[in-house]
Amino acid sequence: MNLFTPLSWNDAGFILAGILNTVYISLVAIIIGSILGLLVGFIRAESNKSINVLLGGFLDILRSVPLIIQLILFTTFIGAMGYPLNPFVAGSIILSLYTMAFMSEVFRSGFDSVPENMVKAARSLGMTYLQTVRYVRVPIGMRAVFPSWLGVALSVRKDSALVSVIGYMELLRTAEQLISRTQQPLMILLGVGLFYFMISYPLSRYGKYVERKMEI
Amino acid sequence: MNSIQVYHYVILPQMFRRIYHPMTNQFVWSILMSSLGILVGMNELSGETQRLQSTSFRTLEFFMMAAVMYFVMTKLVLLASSLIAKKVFKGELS
Repeated sequence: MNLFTPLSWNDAGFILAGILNTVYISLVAIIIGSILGLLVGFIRAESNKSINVLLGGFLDILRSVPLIIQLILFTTFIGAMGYPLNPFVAGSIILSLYTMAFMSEVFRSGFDSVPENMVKAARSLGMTYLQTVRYVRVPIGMRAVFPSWLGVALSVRKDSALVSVIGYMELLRTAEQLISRTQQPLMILLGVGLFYFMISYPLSRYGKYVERKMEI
Repeated sequence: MNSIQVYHYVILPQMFRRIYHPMTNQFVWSILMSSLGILVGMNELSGETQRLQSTSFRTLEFFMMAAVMYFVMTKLVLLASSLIAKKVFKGELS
């Protein structure tokens, strides 16, 4: 008698759902994290020292506590407070904040890379403060940091695998469930690894290409 | 100078000055990523926290302490690295 059902084509839909969930939560985290990171990076580039120290301390905590601990801590915390969220919401909140911590640093260096004279020139052409931000600082600064933005985005996509510890059904957790049914860990994990590789390799090559193009 | 002397007196000092900050960042990164041992049941800080948590059910307290410990550890590594940099490179870091 065979105790385990081997991997079959019927599992393809299950794996596909896991893949879609992974892509979904990564996109949510990257988009929200980038928007928040842009705001925080702008505030950090603009504001005086005391606000910077305060914000920097908060971002420092987000960056120097491992993501997996943050995820577990946050879900148990909101659970203990009596507002349990579903794993997707909790996971995307923490993943977005984590992304924000890295993105804000990237965007801040982007804002700092815009030459002071350029901003002054824009102001003397009669642009308002918001117009200089909209038409000069954001486009020029963001173009300079695009490769590092891509790097952070790719690492977030890899980190999204950790959301499986709080029970979100993304690719890793799907794979674990399939493994516990089929007992074929090697093949399934190889497939999962190949999927992650297939997404990030072309994108990282593209990042390198952009970086090279901008150097010239 | 022969090739060993070139490495000793010229190339390596400059190289370490350049890579010092990225290198310490990688050290901190590897401390943080060691928390992934929780997934394979290794008994490092997070894995041990998970094990204790599963016997006492005090998840919040245990993981809060683990977070504080990780924070302190990374700060200590950064502090030590800046002290070493001051001592070894005498403020001439690139």
